[in-house]
Amino acid sequence: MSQSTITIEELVELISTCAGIRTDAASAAARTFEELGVDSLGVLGIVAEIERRIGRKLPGDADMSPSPAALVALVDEGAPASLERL
Amino acid sequence: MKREAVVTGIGVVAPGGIGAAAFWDLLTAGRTATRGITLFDPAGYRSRIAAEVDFDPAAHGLDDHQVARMDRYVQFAAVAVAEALADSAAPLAGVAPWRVGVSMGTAVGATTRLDREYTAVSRGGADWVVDPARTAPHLNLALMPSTLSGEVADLVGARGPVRTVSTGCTSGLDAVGYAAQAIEDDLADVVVAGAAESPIAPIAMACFDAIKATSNSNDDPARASRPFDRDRNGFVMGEGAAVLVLEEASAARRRGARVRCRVAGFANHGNAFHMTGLRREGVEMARAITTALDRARRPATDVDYVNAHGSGTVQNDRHETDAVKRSLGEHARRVPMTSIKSMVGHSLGAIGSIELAACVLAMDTGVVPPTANLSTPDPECDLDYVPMTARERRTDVVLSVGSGFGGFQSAVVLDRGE
Amino acid sequence: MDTVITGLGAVSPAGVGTAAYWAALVEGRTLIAPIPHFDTAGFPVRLGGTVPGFDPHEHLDGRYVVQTDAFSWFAMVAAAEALRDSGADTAADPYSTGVLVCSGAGGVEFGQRELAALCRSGPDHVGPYQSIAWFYAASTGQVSISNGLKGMCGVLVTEEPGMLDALGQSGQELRRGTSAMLVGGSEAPLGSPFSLACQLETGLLSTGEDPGTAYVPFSEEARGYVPAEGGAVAFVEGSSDARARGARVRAVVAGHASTFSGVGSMDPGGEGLLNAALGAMARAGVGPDDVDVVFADAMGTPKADADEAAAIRRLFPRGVAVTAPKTGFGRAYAGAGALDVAAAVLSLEHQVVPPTPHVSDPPVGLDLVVRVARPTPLRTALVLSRGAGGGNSAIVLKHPDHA
Repeated sequence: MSQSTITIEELVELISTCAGIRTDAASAAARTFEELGVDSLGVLGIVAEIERRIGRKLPGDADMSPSPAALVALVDEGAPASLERL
Repeated sequence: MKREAVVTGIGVVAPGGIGAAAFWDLLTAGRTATRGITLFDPAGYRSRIAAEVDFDPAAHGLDDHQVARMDRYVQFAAVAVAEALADSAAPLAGVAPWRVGVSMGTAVGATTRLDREYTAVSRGGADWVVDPARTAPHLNLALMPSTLSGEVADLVGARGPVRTVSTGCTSGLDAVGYAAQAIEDDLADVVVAGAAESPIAPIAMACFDAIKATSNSNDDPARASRPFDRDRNGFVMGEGAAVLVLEEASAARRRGARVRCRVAGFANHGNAFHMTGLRREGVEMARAITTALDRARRPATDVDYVNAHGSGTVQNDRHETDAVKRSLGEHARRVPMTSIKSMVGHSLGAIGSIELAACVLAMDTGVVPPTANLSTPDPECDLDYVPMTARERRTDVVLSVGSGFGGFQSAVVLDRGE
Repeated sequence: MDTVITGLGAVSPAGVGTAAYWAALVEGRTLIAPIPHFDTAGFPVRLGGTVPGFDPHEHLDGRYVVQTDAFSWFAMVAAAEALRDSGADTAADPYSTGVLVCSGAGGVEFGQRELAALCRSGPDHVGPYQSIAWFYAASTGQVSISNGLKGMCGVLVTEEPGMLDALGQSGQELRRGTSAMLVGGSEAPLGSPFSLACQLETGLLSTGEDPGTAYVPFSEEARGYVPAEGGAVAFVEGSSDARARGARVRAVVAGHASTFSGVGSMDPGGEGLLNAALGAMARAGVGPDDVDVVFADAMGTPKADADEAAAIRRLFPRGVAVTAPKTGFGRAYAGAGALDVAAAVLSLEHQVVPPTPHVSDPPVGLDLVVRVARPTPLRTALVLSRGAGGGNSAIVLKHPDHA
């Protein structure tokens, strides 16, 4: 059973495993990927891993999300629960 | 007396037709050789299009043993070598084998075979520790990209400096540049130079899928490769090979060879920025162009034609446009600059040599090949890219530019000598 | 203009750094052991020379660790040491320093991991770094990027002789105006079972199970070579530039030449190696009496060893000291020539010829240095190398006081 959303803490872990950068939830929530030192390839890897975990594709421009917070919001928007709310 | 390297023969295996004549027909007609992938089943891939070579090795003189031993990219090289040697009319007669070199480029080597054989020995990827008893013959030759130059050396009988150059997507320019340097520095009298690639295989397509570098215009493959066009969305994978016979200039003239052009200048620089990213300003590529022109002792205003890297990614096309403006100044607006990748795709390490072969043919025929599919220029790409239709124009000094992963930026200047 | 080496770095089965490497060489230490990276029970080849306890996080930023293969880690760590050692200020003009790191098979362990993901789960499961980690140019690119070096960037793939050819190529580049180059070679083939499986067909890898007898070239027990991982990088520049900035010149690169003998042929008869050596010595302006030590290729098969010994005897009819320190740890492919060049530089510096570990007696007619290191005046060293791809290269290195 796959999850439908992603938390900032999980994203912190993905930033470490996919991009090799250690950060914490507070920093990740407040900063852009660029400020954290995560490059475009790193974001692509993070997005791919999120897609595997939630079992669905994110919008084609998900890898252009400027920050972890924006990416978390993007995942939330497409989650089944939020679709039901629409 | 200063030694110089001249081109006396070319051979081409490119999508759309085998041989330099078919290649030039395609380019000057502005036809594209991009299509849906047939070399493997691309279902499930983001990019399912490529510029493939319709290739029957036996029809081109390769025997069963060569076909079994050589990976597809080496087979391409072997066919291109035969054409180049014939075109050059016996460049090796009377040259000691120790004075004959080989300099061949490839970015990803025998990916096709390694990919296929890995699947077999790992039981579809299930076993990390593969079963060595299940390996097919010649796998060690596949593991080493040095095999490309070695096979070429054996075909021509070269016993001098033989090396494979593997600087990613600038390999095809760098291999020819190094070859010219080997002649200039008296390390060899003849060097068979060029590049080959056959990357239309699952792992290579998948890794470019993962970074969205390749076009996903799967419904319109013929118009998918659109360098400098507003509607471009990535490069289209290609394959092929080109070989140039380089000789020391005075020896070539003495034997009455048809001298096609001189390799006048070569340079490359790293951007020391990012493995795949480019800074818009194109400072390092501009520097490579300037250094190559300096080494050729040519002012920027001498350049009659620029063969662009023109891969058809937004990032590349703008970076390159700025780099050419930066290095050629106002002259950049007067010089035609075209991308043949619009027609034959981007064959990674091979394309640099294929593009140099196109430059030689442009100088030979007085025709500049067009940039196909360029119907709506990107407003930020504002040079003369010769859209859609080839143009008659005499060219005496030609610049070919390449850019690749690793941050490498290369430039080669060809001219008719001083 | 002479090319000089003013910086050196190594990652070898002796560990990280040239100091650890030299200490092991002088001792003739055994660094061959069972390959620890995977279960080799199904393989006929089980011994290797691996870099002990190498944790990339101790040496590299985490970003580089996730996006590169071990062959690039070794190159980056060795390059950083060479750069530090040179004392050069490369930031003043980033365009003046180039990079040329040779590769053999590329990032094979990283590549196998991504191939496995592709085969098992489909193209969506191939990660974004496969495009930059597996290819042969990865190390040069990352060394350029991580050190801010924008000079000429090159990658040669000529197997074992790579470093020798890179030194030759860098001399050509320096003559054309580049000020300095980081040149080297590195390989990490033992983390990938697929890579090892691909090589078995050559029959050149030793199937020995005893580290003390598995790789014993020039002996009656010769049975192939033990594979190894590692690499070395040198910082090279023009002698006048080095003098002008007061750099310590560690060795002078006096002459290089390369020849070819046929795909996978291992130079039958030794003619290719002989011609390479003659070419390198001619370009260096040295005769047989000027050379004090030869670092042999030491393939470890009876035929290849006999051919090399014959070539050395023809080159040096009055004899010369010969050594092959790599028998202590194995052949590291594109790292092999680099580690041999590093050994030769260190040997000239210390005026000591390291021994050929595990070979107990010199063969008839060859002054192979065995058992213990030999202190002796050394002016000039000749390094010989044959590649699995068919190339042969030679390079002459001189002590700076005798250049």
